[in-house]
Amino acid sequence: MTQQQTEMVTVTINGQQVQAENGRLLIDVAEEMGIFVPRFCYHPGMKSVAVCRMCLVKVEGMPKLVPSCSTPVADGMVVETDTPEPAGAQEDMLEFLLINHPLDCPICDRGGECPLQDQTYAHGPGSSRFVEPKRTYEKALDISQLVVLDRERCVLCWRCVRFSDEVAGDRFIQLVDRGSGTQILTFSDEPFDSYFSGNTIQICPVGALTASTYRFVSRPWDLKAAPSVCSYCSVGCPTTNESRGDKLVRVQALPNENVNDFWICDKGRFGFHYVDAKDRLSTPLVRDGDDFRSATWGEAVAAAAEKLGGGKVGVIAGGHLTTEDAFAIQRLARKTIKTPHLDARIQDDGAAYERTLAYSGVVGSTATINDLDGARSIVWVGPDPKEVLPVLYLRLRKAVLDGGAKLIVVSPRRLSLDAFATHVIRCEPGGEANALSALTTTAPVKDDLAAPLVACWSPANPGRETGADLDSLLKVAVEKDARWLVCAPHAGSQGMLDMGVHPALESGYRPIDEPGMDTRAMLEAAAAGELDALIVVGADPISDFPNRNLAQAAMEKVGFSLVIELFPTETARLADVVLPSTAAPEIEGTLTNLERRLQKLEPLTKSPGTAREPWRAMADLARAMDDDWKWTSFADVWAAITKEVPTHQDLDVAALAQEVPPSALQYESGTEEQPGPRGPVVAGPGGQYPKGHRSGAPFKTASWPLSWELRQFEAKQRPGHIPDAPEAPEEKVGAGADAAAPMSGEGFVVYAGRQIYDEGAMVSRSSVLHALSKGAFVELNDEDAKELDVTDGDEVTLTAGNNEMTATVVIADISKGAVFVPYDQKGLRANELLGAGGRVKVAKA
Amino acid sequence: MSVLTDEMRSVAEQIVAKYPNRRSAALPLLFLVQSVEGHVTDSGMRDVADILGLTPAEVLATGSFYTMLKKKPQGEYLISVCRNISCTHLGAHKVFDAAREKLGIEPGGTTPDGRFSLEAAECLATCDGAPSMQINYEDFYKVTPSEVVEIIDSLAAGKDVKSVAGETVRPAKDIAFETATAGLDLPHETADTRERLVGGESPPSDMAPGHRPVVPGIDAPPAEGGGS
Ligand code: SF4
Ligand code: SF4
Ligand code: FES
Ligand code: FES
Repeated sequence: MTQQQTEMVTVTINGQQVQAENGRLLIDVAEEMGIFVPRFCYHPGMKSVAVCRMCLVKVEGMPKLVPSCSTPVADGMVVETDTPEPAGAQEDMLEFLLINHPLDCPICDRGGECPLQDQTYAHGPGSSRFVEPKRTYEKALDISQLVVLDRERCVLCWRCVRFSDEVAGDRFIQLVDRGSGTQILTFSDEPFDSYFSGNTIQICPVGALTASTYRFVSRPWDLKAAPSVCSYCSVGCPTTNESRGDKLVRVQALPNENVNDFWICDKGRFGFHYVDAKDRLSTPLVRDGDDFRSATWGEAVAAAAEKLGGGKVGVIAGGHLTTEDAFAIQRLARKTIKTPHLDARIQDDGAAYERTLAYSGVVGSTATINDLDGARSIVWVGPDPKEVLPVLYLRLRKAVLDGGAKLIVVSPRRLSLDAFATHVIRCEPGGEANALSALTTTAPVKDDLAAPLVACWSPANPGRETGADLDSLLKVAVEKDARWLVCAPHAGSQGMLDMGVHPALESGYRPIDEPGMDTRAMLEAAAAGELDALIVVGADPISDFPNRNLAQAAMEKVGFSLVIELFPTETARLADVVLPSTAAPEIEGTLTNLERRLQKLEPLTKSPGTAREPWRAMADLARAMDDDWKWTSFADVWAAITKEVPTHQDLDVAALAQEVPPSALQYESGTEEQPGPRGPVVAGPGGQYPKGHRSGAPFKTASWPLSWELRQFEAKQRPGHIPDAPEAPEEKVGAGADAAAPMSGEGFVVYAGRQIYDEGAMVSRSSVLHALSKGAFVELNDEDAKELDVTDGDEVTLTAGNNEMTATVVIADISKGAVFVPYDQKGLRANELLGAGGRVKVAKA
Repeated sequence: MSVLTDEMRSVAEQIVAKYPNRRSAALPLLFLVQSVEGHVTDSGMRDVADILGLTPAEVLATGSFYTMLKKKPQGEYLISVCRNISCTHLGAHKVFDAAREKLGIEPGGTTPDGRFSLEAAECLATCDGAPSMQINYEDFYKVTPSEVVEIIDSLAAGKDVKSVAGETVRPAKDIAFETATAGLDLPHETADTRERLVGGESPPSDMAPGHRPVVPGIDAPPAEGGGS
């Protein structure tokens, strides 16, 4: 946010003169000129430590070689990276590193995309003088469900340790012991229990850390890769999906300094096995008495279209669909079926995102994630971002710890943010609005509310009115001239708002005079037998809506229901017609993240059977209802979006798509070195390599991009696009919040929130992650626990209405009189409790 | 499964109070664990992590770097015989063999009764007293094979054994406790409270800078005003 004058200096590297910002690291400046200095410990996403000494270069006037990863450029600096002196040092370093290295490349997952392998080819000595026995360790230690450690392969670069410390703050993996016995280790029986552990696998420059899901699965040159976007939460981390044959085998982070830096969470990385879950739907199903029979696509569409033509129809969409799906859904509802009843808020039922319209031209965020970095203050109101928006948590942490922002957290319970917050304000569930209105007047908090300020909000507390707290926050923001991040929960949620899958908004944030029914009203109408048909796209209200009984009754009583889904969810099982849907790695599309950034997904694997994208299903339904949209491709949908959605009319979708380098560079074999500037060349000893991989390149090449590192840097070029905000409408939609009704009644107020690993349809089908879910627990304040005579680890019974469930007590910092329960865990479905009025009785079991 | 009693935890808090950051107290607290358990146990490291607000892995990373913090059960007396060049030249290996035979254990081992451990040490920085040996970090110079056997017998019989500097060799747990609590004014401290440095060097007061104390029969009197 702040504009700083940067001074430019002139440096000469390998005879080439270049202008560079004063103080930048030599290693980066060289790299941008196409001179790649070999490295192990340096990583652009973390601070330099200069421990591996691989990047030594010669700087004129310096008595000794210097590590380029920790040497800032200065005016007049003359640097050599490939003359005999630095090249000799680099060679020696590699000889040292290989002394104890097991050289088990043939059975190592990293083989073929390994910085150690590549750098040894390019800069190494070719043979070793070390003939003594190597130091050995027990191989393949499972240090968590997800990560496997082989200490013999480790080059002690500290990347994993620094990531866990600096970036994630989960210090579970450390360098232990000393001297030649120094090794990476976790503490005896404590696993590497971090939501971000997979990043260490990706940045480990050798095969010391590997993924339990990818061990011995593939060679990099057998992989196909496609850039995509994680379809879980609304951070929208760019990823590469990688497949072998037609099977998705790996997901990795694609760096984007605007969104995720270099990181993704373990849910995004390991949560892809749902795509080939056994119960994935591959064919349309049509109800046949108590059962279903499979049908052709045409037959199923015709059967549905027949029932959608007249009467009262509702449409409910889920949070993991693309922008195109969202557009198609609202088009079918508003233009073809002509119903005003559509909504995409399910778990976040009633979340009043549209309140932002009163203050800006958009529904959603006016800030970007990057604005956090320049912020002096950040206010957070909402659920625990570490659980629900994991990489946003990393960005918030960075903004505070590196950027020095003051963080103010308003929450009824302790959040992971509290650890580095400047002020923590505890309130009752529903008391957020009042706590917020006091912010600007109460010392010492008010003194720390300084511009630039980013106010963050995400719906917490499902099933409860949240408009008032968002409104209070926006008032603070406006008073302090701040921007805000208003975060709808899922990867597709913002796209739904943008495209007008909302009862009170048309696409492009245009308010509607006579709003239709929202999700709750539709379900109530259906349960009362007053709805003729319900279309549910990519959603499972029975599991997710904060009133399970209502959703169940709605599906049972509605005249007709069409469900478009990946799996036979509880909702789908009650449908009349089910159409199989597609998963993110299979489609071309866009997702809009919590800062309204559109990013492109490219297809990689094939969908099973006759599964189709929901937008195609919508177009097919429309055609069956005599409204032919003539859409056959993604481009057709975008043509329509740019025509019909005012905010998106200038968007060049082609500019979103950029090629991402393949997962392993493939080389022609036997080519001679050409004069002139060289393209990417990975050196090899010139022997016979399979498929021409790396053969033919001369041994030792100064111009040496690592297949793996290169991908990281090139990939930075996909920033995505945030559409401009339209003028704020004069009419203030929904302004003037109703204060949350105070909860009255017996028992504890239920405050529910999602955990990173839950019973969601996709996560629960990714078995490695499902095993990590926390199960049924309930957080109690210690005073309340004393009164109930229970303590940590005791079992209690929770009773609400006719529902009774047991959970394990966790004593926590939570407002008195409230209990926190995870939203959707095995054995504890919060939406059963919430349906019964939001109060629960707790008793020792 | 805490190994630090409430009393020990209050000592721990006093140690912590000496430092500007809690985490700086990791090493003394690990010595405190060693003074209770005889070595640094997993449950002890968990206690330290808990007291300092670190993860057990961080405590392990810190503690495992230092050889005086023992990772496995250690005898009451640790006999460290130097194996570096000066001592080897002057017969350290014979001293080592005598100790090994006497105790019936290999380097790094501990006798089954838990009284003695034996280790081959790197240069103890007392090469002029070669062959050098330490017992619980008290120095013994010009050690002969028969001497080491004698010393072991005396310790085994519970007799006082004095180092070259005249210090009584004390059990490992005591040393660990002293190290942990150095500089604290503890009411319940043992009678044998002297200002000591870790490693059993004599108090600095009777030394000119750069000098080691004179050991009768070994050292020549230092030259007036000379360095070493
Ligand atoms: S395990 Fe990998 S990332 Fe960690 S220190 Fe070793 S080589 Fe580096
Ligand atoms: S933070 Fe969200 S978008 Fe990013 S990888 Fe995790 S679940 Fe996916
Ligand atoms: S990369 Fe510079 S010292 Fe490791
Ligand atoms: S060589 Fe033995 S003390 Fe130095």
